[in-house]
Formats: sequence, C-alpha cells, structure tokens
Amino acid sequence: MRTILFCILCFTSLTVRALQPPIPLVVYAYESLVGEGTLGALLKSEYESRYQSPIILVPFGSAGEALNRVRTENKVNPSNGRADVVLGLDSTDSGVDDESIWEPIEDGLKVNIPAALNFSRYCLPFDHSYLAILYHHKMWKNKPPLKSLTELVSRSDLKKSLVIQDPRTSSIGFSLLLWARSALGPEKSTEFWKGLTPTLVSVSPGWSSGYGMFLKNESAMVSSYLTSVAYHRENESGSDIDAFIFPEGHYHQIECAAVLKTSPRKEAAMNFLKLLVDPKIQSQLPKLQWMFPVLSTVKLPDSFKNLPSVKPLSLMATTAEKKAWLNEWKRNVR
Amino acid sequence: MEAKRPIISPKTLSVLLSAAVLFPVFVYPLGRFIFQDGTSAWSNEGLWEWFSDHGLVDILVFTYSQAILSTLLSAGLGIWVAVLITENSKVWWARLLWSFSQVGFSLPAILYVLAYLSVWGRSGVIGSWLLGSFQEFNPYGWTGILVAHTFFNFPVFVRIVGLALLERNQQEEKAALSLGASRWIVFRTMTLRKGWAAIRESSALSFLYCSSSFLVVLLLGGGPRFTTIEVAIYESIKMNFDVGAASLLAGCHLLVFSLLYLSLSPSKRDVNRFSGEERMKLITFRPSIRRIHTVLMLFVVMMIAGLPLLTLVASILPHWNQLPWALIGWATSITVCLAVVSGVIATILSFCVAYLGYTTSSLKVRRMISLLSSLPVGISTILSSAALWHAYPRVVDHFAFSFFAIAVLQAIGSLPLLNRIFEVAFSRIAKSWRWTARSLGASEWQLLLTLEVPLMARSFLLALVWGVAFSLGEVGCVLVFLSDHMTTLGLEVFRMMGRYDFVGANVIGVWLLALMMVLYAVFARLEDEVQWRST
Amino acid sequence: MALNLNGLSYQIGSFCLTQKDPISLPKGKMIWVRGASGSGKSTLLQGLAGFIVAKSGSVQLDSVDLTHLPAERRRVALVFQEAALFPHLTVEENVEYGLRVLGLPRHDRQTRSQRILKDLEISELANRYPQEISGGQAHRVSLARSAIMDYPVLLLDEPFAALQVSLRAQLTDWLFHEAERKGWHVLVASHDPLDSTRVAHQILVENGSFSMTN
Repeated sequence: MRTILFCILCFTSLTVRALQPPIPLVVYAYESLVGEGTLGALLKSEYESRYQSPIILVPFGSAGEALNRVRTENKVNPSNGRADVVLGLDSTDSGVDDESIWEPIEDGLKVNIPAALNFSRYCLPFDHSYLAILYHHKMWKNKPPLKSLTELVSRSDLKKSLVIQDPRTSSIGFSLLLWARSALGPEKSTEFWKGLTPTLVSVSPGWSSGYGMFLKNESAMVSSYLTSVAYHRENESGSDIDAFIFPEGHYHQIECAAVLKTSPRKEAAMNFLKLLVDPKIQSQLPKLQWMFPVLSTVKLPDSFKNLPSVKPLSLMATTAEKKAWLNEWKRNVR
Repeated sequence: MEAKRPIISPKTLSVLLSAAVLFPVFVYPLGRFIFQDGTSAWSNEGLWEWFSDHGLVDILVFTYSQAILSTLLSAGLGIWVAVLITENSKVWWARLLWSFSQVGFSLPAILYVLAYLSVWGRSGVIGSWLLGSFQEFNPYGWTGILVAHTFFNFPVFVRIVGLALLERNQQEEKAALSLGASRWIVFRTMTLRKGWAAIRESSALSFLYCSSSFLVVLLLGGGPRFTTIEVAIYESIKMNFDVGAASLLAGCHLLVFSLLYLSLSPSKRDVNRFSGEERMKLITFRPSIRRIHTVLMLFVVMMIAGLPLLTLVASILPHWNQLPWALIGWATSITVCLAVVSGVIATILSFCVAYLGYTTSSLKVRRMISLLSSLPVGISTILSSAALWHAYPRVVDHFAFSFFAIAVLQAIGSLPLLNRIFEVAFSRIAKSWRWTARSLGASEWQLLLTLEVPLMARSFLLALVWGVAFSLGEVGCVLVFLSDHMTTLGLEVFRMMGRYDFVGANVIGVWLLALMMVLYAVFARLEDEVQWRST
Repeated sequence: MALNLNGLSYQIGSFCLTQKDPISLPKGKMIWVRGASGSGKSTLLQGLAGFIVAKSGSVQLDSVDLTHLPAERRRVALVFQEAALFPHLTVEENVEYGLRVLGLPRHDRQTRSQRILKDLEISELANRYPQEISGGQAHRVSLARSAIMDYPVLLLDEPFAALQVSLRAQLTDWLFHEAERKGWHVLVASHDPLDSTRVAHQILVENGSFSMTN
C-alpha cells in the first residue's frame, strides 16, 4: 500500500512538473524595441518558435533606466535576479563593463563580428551607426558644406539653425557630448559648447522630439544618426535630407545586449544573444532599427549602400566622468 | 421601528478606501525607495555639493518663476473665457468652447508642441512671417514655454471657475445693479469675489502642473538654463541613479507646493452655496463691450489652441489611409478600456476624498485632506515611477496586473481635478436638506444613499467623463507599468516617432483627438442637464 | 409623557443660549416659542432636534434622556422655515421619505402619505417636483413629511412666515388637532403671534436665555 502511494506521489509530482509552463526568459529593453513591428517583436517570435520557450519583454524609457533597475535589483537580491538579458545598451552607458553585473560573452558568439565593434567582453553588439549632423538641402541652399564640428561655432551664417538633444535626458545627447570630446579634445570641446548657443534652435529632451522639429523645418540641421538618411531615401522619393561628413571623425555608437550574472537562465539567455546575431535577424535589422547590422556578411538595403564611409571615433565614460562632463556641459551651454 | 446601526460608517469606509489606494501606491513605495537606498544627499556635504555644483538655486528660481508666470497667464485667459462662456451660455460657440477647451487635459504634450511650431515656429505659418518682419521674434524660450503652458492649463480655470460662476446666486448682483453700481464694479467686487475660492484652487493646481513641467520646458526652452526640478530629478534618477539627490529635489518641491497650496486653499467656507433657486443669466457687461471681449477672447484662444490643432489635423489628411489599422484598433480598445477603468476608480476615489472633507467640521483638517489628495501629483512622477518599479517589479509580468496598476496610477493623477467636482457638488447640498433627512431618522448611510448620492448623480457622471478624459492621452503612468502586450494610443504616438514615422504619429494623434471630441460631446450633453436646466 | 428641559445651554460661535428655569411640557399641546428675530429661537429648536450639542443640561422625553442621542435617533422632527424639500424627489416621495428610511413596505407608505396629503389638501401635487409648486404648497408638503412620522416631538421653525393669513390659520388648526389626537409635543418658533386659543404655553427667548412664561 505504501509503495503504491509513493508511486502515485512521484507520478503526480512529475506530471505537475511536466505540465508547468516553462519559465520565461525576461529581457529588459528600451521602449522602441518593444511592440509590434520592432526588433524586439521579431526576436520574440523567432525565439519562441525556435526554442518553444516564452520571452517577456519589459520596456523601459531607455537602456540606462534598465541598467539602473538591474543595479537596484542586484542590491536587493544578489543571488537570484529577475532579468536575464538587457537589450539595447550602448557604448555611452557607463556600467557596460561592470563585471559584477554581467556574464562574459562566449567568444563563439562574436566570430563574425568585426573586432572594432567588440568594445566590451560583457556585451554582444547587434547594431551600430555614427552620429552625424543632418541637414535639409532646401534650407541649406548654397552655403558651403560643414567640414567639422567647430564650424558650427565659428561660422556666422549658421545662427539658429541646429537642434541637438539634451545629454542629461537622452543617450544620443550624451553621444554628442562624447563626440565633441573625442573629436576636439577636452579643452576645445569646452570652447565648442560655450560658443554653440547662438547656433542652437532648441535642445530637445530626446531624439524623436528633436527630429520632429527638424522635419517640420524648424531647423536646418539636427544631430542624429548617419543611417537616418537611409530611412528617408528608402521611404520618401526625392528626399532632401543628407548628412555632413567630417574628416575628423564621427562618434561610433554601438548597441549591444548583455546577460546578467544573476540570471538563473544563462543558457536560454545565451541562445537569445545567439539569435540576435543570426543572419536571418541581422538581415532584417536595418529596416527595423535603421542602424547598420554588425554582421559584415549581411546584404544591406540599397538605401544603406550609398551612405558614405566615416572615420569612427569612440570614447567611453565612467559614472564619475559622466557626472562631471554633464555638469561642465550645463555650465557651458546657456 | 428604528433604522439599524451600520457596521461601518461611510466616513470610515471612505478613509479605508482612500488609504487602501494611496498607501500602497505612494506612501509605501516612496518611503521604501528613498530610505532603503540611502540618503547621501541629505548630509551636509551632500547639500553643499548640490548647492554649489548643481545650481540648485537657479533650478528653483526658474522652476517657480515660470510656473508663476504660466499660472498668471492661464488664469487670465481661463477666467476671461469662463466669464464670457457663462455670459453666453446658450450660444453655440460658448457651448463648443466649454466642451472642447479641455482638450489640453488629454493631448500628449509632444503633439501640441509640434502643432504649435507648425503655426508659430520659425517655419510656421505665422511664425515665418513674423520672423521676416520682426528679427527679434522668437517662438522659443520664455514665449514658447508660457504659451504652451497656457494651452494646457487654462482649461483648469475655465472648468473650475466657470462652475463656480454658474452656480452662484446672482440675486446679489442684481440688487447691486439696481442700487446704481456700474457693471464693472459689480463684476470686480461681486462676481470675481464669489469665484475667488475657485480661482485660488485653480491657481494652485495650475502652479503644480507647470512646476512639474518636463517636455515643454526642454523642447521649447532650449538649453540647460531652462531646467525645472523635474528635469533635474530625471537627470539624478535616470542618468546618475542618485536617489538621494532626487529625493532632496523632490522634497524641496513638495515643501514649496504644500506651502503654496495651503495658502491658496479656501480659508473660509465656500460661499457659493446653491440654494435651489432658478439660475439667471449673468448680467455684467454692456452688449457692445461684451461683443468686443468675445471676439478678442475667441481670437486669443484660436491663436493658442485652435490654429495649432487645426494644422495638426490638416497635416494628416493626405495620409489618413496609410495607418496600420489593426494596431490602432488594439491600441484604441486598450486605451478606451483603460480610460473607463481609470475613470471609475478616479470617480470613486475622489468621491471618498471629497466626502471626507465634506463630513469634517474642522477647516484645518479639510484643507489638509485637500492638500494630501493633491500630493501624489506634486511628487515628481519620475521619482514616484522609479519607486513603484522597485516596489512592484512583477506587476508587469501579468497583463491584468499591469492594466489595473496603470489605471490606479492614472486615477490618482486626476484626483485633484475630480475632487473639485465633488466639492462643488457637496457644497450644493443645503444644510437644511441634510438636517431634515436626519430628523426623519436617516442614518449616515441612508443620508448618503438616498439624498447625497442621488443629488450628485450627474456629478458622478461628470467626474467619470473627466477621469476618462484625463486617462486617454496619458503616457507617463502607462510607461511605469507597461507590460509586453500592452499599448495605448498615446504610447503609439511616441513609438511611431521613435521609428521615424512622424506622419503616423500625427495620424494617431488626430485619431486620439477625434476620440476626445466624441467623449466631450457626450460630456456636453450631460452637462446640459446639470448647468443649463434647473435641478 | 412630558418633555422636560433642564439647565440647557447651547453655544454657536460667540452666541450663547441658556435656560433660566426647568421646563416641563405636557404632551398633546402646542407651545409657542417666541422672541424677536435673531433672539435664538432657531438655535433652541436645532438644539432640541440634536443638531447643536448642548454644553450643559438635559432633554428628557418621558424619562428617556435624549441629550446625547444623535438627531436621527431622537424621534424629533424639525420643519425648516424654507421647507427644504428634496429637489430630486416628487412631493409624494418627499412625504414618504422618513417612512422609506424606516423600512416600511411600499403599500403602507403610500397609504399613509395619501391620507396626510388629503388631510392637508395637497393630493393633486403628489407627482410634481418641488420646483413646480408654490411656496405655500411647499410648506404644507414639508409639514406632511414630518407629521407622517408620528414622532412624539414636532418642531417647526417659522413655518408660517411666508403664508397668507387664511392658510396660516388652517395649518395651525390642523396642527392643534393632530397634536391633541396623537399626543405630540408641538413647538412652533415664530416672531408673529399664534392663535392664543391654540397655544397652551409659551417659551420666551430673549437676551440669550429662554424660559416658560405661562
């Protein structure tokens, strides 16, 4: 009798265990990556069909917010975190190299990715682009093209013609700050920011509000990504938007994903990362993200092919440097 | 036969319901977030660092000076519109303006800003001409901020002051006129005086919203000198993850707001009691002066609100058929369901809070209740959203939890506005009615259910519609507990912009506007029964 | 069943109303509470009804101490000067209000309300709303609403101030007979004199105090 009961108990617990739904993979991502028609949606459907396992995409206002959330969760429960992957970190996020947070990425995942894009052993890049100053041909008229960042300050014919993003509230804004610093050096970048005010129309809180103003012809120029030009070439006939190319170089922004050290589902998380650099996903990425894919073997859409090559600049900031440079920016840009 | 004694009184139930919502949503998460994560900025070194390095004084000066100026302008336009609407309550344009002036409550700020720039921007329809004629014209900076804030806040005055003006007893004004007082003196000394409590409350609310401004200030200000406390808190939390600094800033703001709110809240009982007498047409200005005022007022409203919104609508007409309608259908259904649930919760919650104030004899306690009900809006949404994430991280794992959590947050956001509807409604219940009912044996519950609630039935409907309206275009609360499958129309506006689809964002914005118009038409219909017919 | 008032004192703001001597009011009689405008007649009635807390003293009805009972449990009906009809209810519903609160079945409520409306000659107003009737009619409805409760104490605050003389006399008569028949204590506050043949006693309110005069 006891044996029978024991067998029933075992059978029941095994059945219940088998019937329990698989634990989902939790991915933190910035808001634009979540929702219908986004890279996140594509990854989710592909992952779930390939691995028969669910994913929860948790949206945040920015990757920085997701990172802050992860830091707090780690403090509260260091041994058993909730999130497995953070998608959409970039080279401006201080903390991407924090070994206490992230799991090192297997070398095997980075095989087909150019070395120049591998800026961290903890973060797998999945797309990249370059910061650029975009402009309307119509509004630029016959003015000579811009050749460097310093011309934004030195030229007198550029008053009230540029919209930039606020580095305090947007990562692209901070990228611009890093671009100035890496292209011009610390002292000249200070002079740059001090002299930029007459050129500025507005300092927008984020990319979309600033770009919206640019599209409404409120400004002749806007700081954005080089690949934004590709969007207009692809979707608009006779687009008059183009980008100035500076010989001194353009800030190279690389987006990546990372696995948390506290993740209880590391294998599933690595599978997710593997999918991120899968040729099938990478080939669709340009028209979803309007960024360059990391796989050099991927065929780019025509709108991307004609984009000029640029000299990449990179600079990363620690948390303390970020704070100090932001304070300096606030003092210099009035 | 005697009425049975209740197990729990309506007042106790109101306290419990209010606490049940407000404690877990604000007191607990904020307390835990701030005290758990340390208070590094609260030490002497921390405070000194803030004052010297971060320009705290500059931030505070700008925050409150722009809030005061914005409030003054909003008050000026809002009271002007309210007076003229109540003067011409039966005329079609007055009814239209009364119904649609509150579009500002629901419209996402980014849509208005871009629409404003379409008219007044450097390349705008009127702005480009002004720039050509007057080199000094600048739609940005202080001008842009003040105009945008006026658009979003003048409806607060129109509604609250307008209600007070409609409900006052006009016998006194007629008596003054018959004694030889000029119309201007009657207006200044009687009409405005009677609406003064409403003006002060509206000013406190408007100040609150303006001082918490984020996107408008950044986008139209253009530069770090246009930094409000909200921007500084955003930087602390999201960029530096400095909870201590963020809580210090939020604490400063809360202190200033509380002091201002207490000084502006009514210091004596509202004299605008409805005595059940027939309402009469307001008599203040001579017809010719009234006409000039009306035209001028309509012109100003058109310039600030009408034209920008019309250009927004006009911009999308060629692209109307290019939208992903399946997505919009899903977003619309979530938006409407969320708005209805949020509206119901907001109505119940604000009724409970107003009831607590109504049944409290101490004026000090009533003012504190009113202040506490506004505090959730006064605390930085960035700080409170961060606190809520940390307190309830698993909420977003489940669609239903996420949905309900967002609805509760939105309900709390509309609390100060809806509270006012019920305060006015309670003030319309004559003391003699309550005492008569009690002398006939009615218990507290019977008084509430057979007298007070039926008399306020239409106010419930008005509060519900207003709560729904507040939720429709709201995005901040949605982002706090947004789960995987959820989207709303307001959110889709931002998402589309993030994907370069600005035309799509505008189309959704216009669709949202159309939804609001339908809702406000329903609202107007309900209000017909409240304000233009005797009860 | 006597209504006994002993050492009562009420305070509203800076105004204080104090009882001079003990008062014992017999049942079935009409008592005139008289005094000039602003003397405190309303304060006295509101205090007896339980809407103003007594600073001192007691109110006893047949040895039941009403002093600290809330208004809704005193079985003391108060009729206001302004009629105070509930605007969202018809005349009939107004009259039935107290019975509905008590939980009486609908049929009983209707029977009693129809009877009293007939007594006061306002049956034809049953389905109208308060906004649709005259001031005099409203006062009769208000009276009916309180009288239908058959409470031992009925307080009326300036009930006839706005009424024509003939209607005043009619209602006074009706009150007198009902009070006698049902054993009510009816206190009528009025600065105008009531028919002396109907009034058993007077309470004079003046200079911040009140006492029985005869």
